[in-house]
Amino acid sequence: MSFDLFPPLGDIKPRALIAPDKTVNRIAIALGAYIAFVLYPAYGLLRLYWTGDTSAFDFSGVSTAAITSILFAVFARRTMMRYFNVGAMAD
Amino acid sequence: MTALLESSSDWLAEYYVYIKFVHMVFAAMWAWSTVVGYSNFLVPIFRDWQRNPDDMDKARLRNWAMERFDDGAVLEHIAFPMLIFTGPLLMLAGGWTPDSGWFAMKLVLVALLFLPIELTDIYLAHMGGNKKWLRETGQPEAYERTLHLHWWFLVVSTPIVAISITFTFYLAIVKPF
Repeated sequence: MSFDLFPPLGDIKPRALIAPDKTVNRIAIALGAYIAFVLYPAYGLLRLYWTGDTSAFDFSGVSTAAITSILFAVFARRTMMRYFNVGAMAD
Repeated sequence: MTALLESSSDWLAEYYVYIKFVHMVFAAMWAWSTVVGYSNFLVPIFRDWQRNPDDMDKARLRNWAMERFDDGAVLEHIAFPMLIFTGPLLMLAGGWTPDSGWFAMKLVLVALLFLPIELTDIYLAHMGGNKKWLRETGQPEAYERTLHLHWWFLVVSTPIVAISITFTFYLAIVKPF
């Protein structure tokens, strides 16, 4: 393949991109944890500060956040694996 | 301060629908301006290169695609600051506060999710991580390292933005709680 639009490689030395399953798993867990331990509590605290409403920390709210974070971690892992695990077939 | 906010709110209220129009136009631009380039060009080209990391032609194609994507993200990165500008105006004009659950959730997503993602993306695409600039200033090792980092960033942020942007539109339009 030769096409003038492509930038010259010059001294750039391409190397294989390594994406270990273990790293992807950890990232997926971290993303789920970010929902459960950062985003949702921040929402709850903002509501508490502004309105005095504590309903975000009720069982239903906390369990919704927990289920959402688990489902999201699964979805994130699946999506990232799809991009990193390239297999042998052309797209 | 409260009086100033109240008078601003009263004055802006008259222009609520116009501010909303501008906000929605930029929200759409921010959300979807890179989708076709990413899904149909960058992803297949990178997956093809990942299968053949030693193929120099595929590496050149990879570099070209990423450099074009850096430029292609300009619309997204013009739209995001406009959202940050029109969002507070809309808040004042509409009288929205965290009394509304949907609004509180949206504020949290903007501050703790979209802002860090966009700042990282702006750095990688247009500032120190701009691939064309790295190539033209003779930084081959930084080029390769940044290109890998950018691809990691894009892959990791793909599930985040796919869900959170859709959810944010849902919050803003449906106002479910």
